[in-house]
Amino acid sequence: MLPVLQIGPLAIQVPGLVLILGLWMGLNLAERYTSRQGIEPSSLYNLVFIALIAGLVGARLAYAIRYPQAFAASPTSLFSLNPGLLDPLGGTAAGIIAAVIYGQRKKIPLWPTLDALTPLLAVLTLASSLAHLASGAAFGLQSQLPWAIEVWGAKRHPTQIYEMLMASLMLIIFWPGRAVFKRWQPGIYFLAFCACSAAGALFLQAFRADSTLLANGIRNGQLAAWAVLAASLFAMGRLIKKED
Amino acid sequence: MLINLWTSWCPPCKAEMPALQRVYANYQGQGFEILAVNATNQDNLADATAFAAQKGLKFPILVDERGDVSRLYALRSLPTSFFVDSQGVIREVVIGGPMSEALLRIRVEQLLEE
Repeated sequence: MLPVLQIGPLAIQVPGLVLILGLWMGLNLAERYTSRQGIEPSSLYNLVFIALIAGLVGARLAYAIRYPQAFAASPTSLFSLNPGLLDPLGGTAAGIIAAVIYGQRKKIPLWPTLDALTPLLAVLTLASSLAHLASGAAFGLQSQLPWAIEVWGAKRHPTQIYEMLMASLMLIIFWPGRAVFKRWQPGIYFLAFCACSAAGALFLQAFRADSTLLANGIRNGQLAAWAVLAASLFAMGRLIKKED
Repeated sequence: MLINLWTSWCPPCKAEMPALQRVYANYQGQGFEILAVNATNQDNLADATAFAAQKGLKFPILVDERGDVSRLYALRSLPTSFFVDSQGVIREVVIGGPMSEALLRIRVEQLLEE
């Protein structure tokens, strides 16, 4: 774990830094292959920028709506830099809605855009696993295996490293330079990445100790992964059928 | 309970102290406690005492003269705050600051509701 990098008087939050680097590298990688989908790199950058800003504002507002009394007592907290005051679901929803509105106004085609964004998603998944490793988040169940690591006062499954290996494998499989993806119809590349990532998450969630446990040992994250897997496969089926 | 490690030369530590005091004043009656541990091994005790008096801090200010608490709690950056539940389990660690008042209120209410 390396949550903070202290350089003189500067305390740099490593997870945040890793995510920003991941965003920059992912956008660079995506930009190299946007021409294949017929998308202008500037449109892709604008789309991501708008989604990010809307996501951040939405995440903070959604959190404030959940805890109105706390924000009423301290309204300036709305502008606080604390990442602990963000609602991930609200932020994701706001980011997606803003991206959809921008895409429709600029007449950006949906499936080619999602294909163009896939390399960014793959790099961000890898960056997210490194951020988890730095912060100690997404930690594993206690374990006596020889490769267990010491996290939060106990030997645990190194779930962050499992996550990193899985994300690296996904990035290799879905490397945008592969010729085979050129032959796939728009949308399949993105949906295949979503389906494989969801299948990977289903497996990894079984080793996690931090996510909410539902009935019969099934985790909240596994339920979400099943939903993404089913939706991706369904959409792939529809696209392929439409093409035939 | 909130364990807060701080020094008087650290700007974010000083910036979050008024919010800590307000939250302490609000929730102390419900069983909430703050232990503000001054990392005195890297601070000046006179400066720390003067700062606490100037800001009117009412919660206990503990003195870590040899850095034992800082080592035990693996202090990497100042300030660092530990939210501890009624069973003595650390539920959240906030590294860096300043923490906003809303964050403090929400976390304290969550601990008190359990």
